[in-house]
This record gives sequence, structure tokens and C-alpha cells, in this order.
Amino acid sequence: MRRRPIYLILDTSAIRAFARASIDVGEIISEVNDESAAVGLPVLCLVEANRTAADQERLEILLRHEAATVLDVRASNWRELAAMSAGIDSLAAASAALATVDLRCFILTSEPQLYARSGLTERIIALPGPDQ
Amino acid sequence: MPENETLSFDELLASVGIHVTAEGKRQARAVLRAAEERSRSPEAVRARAALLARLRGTDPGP
Repeated sequence: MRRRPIYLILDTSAIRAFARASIDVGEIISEVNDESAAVGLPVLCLVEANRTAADQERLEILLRHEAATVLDVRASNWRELAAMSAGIDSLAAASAALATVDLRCFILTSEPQLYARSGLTERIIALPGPDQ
Repeated sequence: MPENETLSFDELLASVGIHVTAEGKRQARAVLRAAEERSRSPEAVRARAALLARLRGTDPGP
């Protein structure tokens, strides 16, 4: 089966919001799914969100569906990740930003201020409130 | 989970309490298209080039 193109990256705050039944996140993922694309879940963001995620069942539903793909941190990208993390005060957020650059896609977040110095501001889609 | 094979993605979301609507999806589509538009602006193209240079170590930065 051919892998779907990644259209949007969910950072930690967006994954948490989804796990808390955010309708805004659900509708965006649903729309991406309708366009036969997928959302990317950087593994570091997934781990971070999993610490506090309110509902594991929602995350499991997403992880089992082709509308979502978990994105690894590639060892060969460590220098780029280090450079990106110099402008972002969170390693997980830096990994989400780097995935956004690599895949030429967008990042969904309720913490847009995290990315203010990333050079990615045109590619940020901000959710309407902190963690919904 | 065999029962999931017959459910649409929206129905799966509904099964975990996320009830998407046609109007909500229309708004989501508009948000995505607006982001695409922003990313094609000259400022966004310049920002991407500068970011790539920084990540590749070819730009010493400010």
C-alpha cells in the first residue's frame, strides 16, 4: 500500500488537544483524511503528549489509521535538529519544526509562540487556545 | 479491530467523542488553503531559503 503524503505535522500541544477531544483538531485531521493525505506525529511529540494525554483511546484510534503516520528522528538529521533546537526551547517542538521543513508541510499547534524564532511562521496553523 | 473496517474516519472520531460537522470541515479546509497561500508568499519563500541555509550551516546567522 502506498504511503499517503504528509500534509500537516501535529506538535505536542496539538496531539494533546486531539487526545482531549478537540473538535478543531478533529475537523482538520478529518479534512486532511478526505484529501487522501495524512498528518505526521513526530515521535518526540507523541512521547511528550503521552505523558499527560487524557484519553489514550483517541490516540490509539489515530495511530491505527492511515490518516496518521509516526515520524522518526533520523540519526542522519542530528545536525539539522541541533541547529533547529537553537531557536526553539523544546526538543520535541524542534523535531516537529524540522519535519515541517523536510516534508514542506505545515505545523498545527496551540503554542505558536514556541516557533516565533524558527523561521517557520508562515507554515504555522495556530489552534484557538492553549491545548484547547 | 474488524469492526473498524466498516467505519469511516469520521465515524471513528465520533466513536471517541469527536463529532465533526460539514461546516466545521469547510472551515478547516479554508484554514488549510489559507496556510498554503501564505506559504507561497515572497516572504515565506525568503524565510524558507534562510532557514535551509541556517540548518545546512551555510549561513552564519545574524
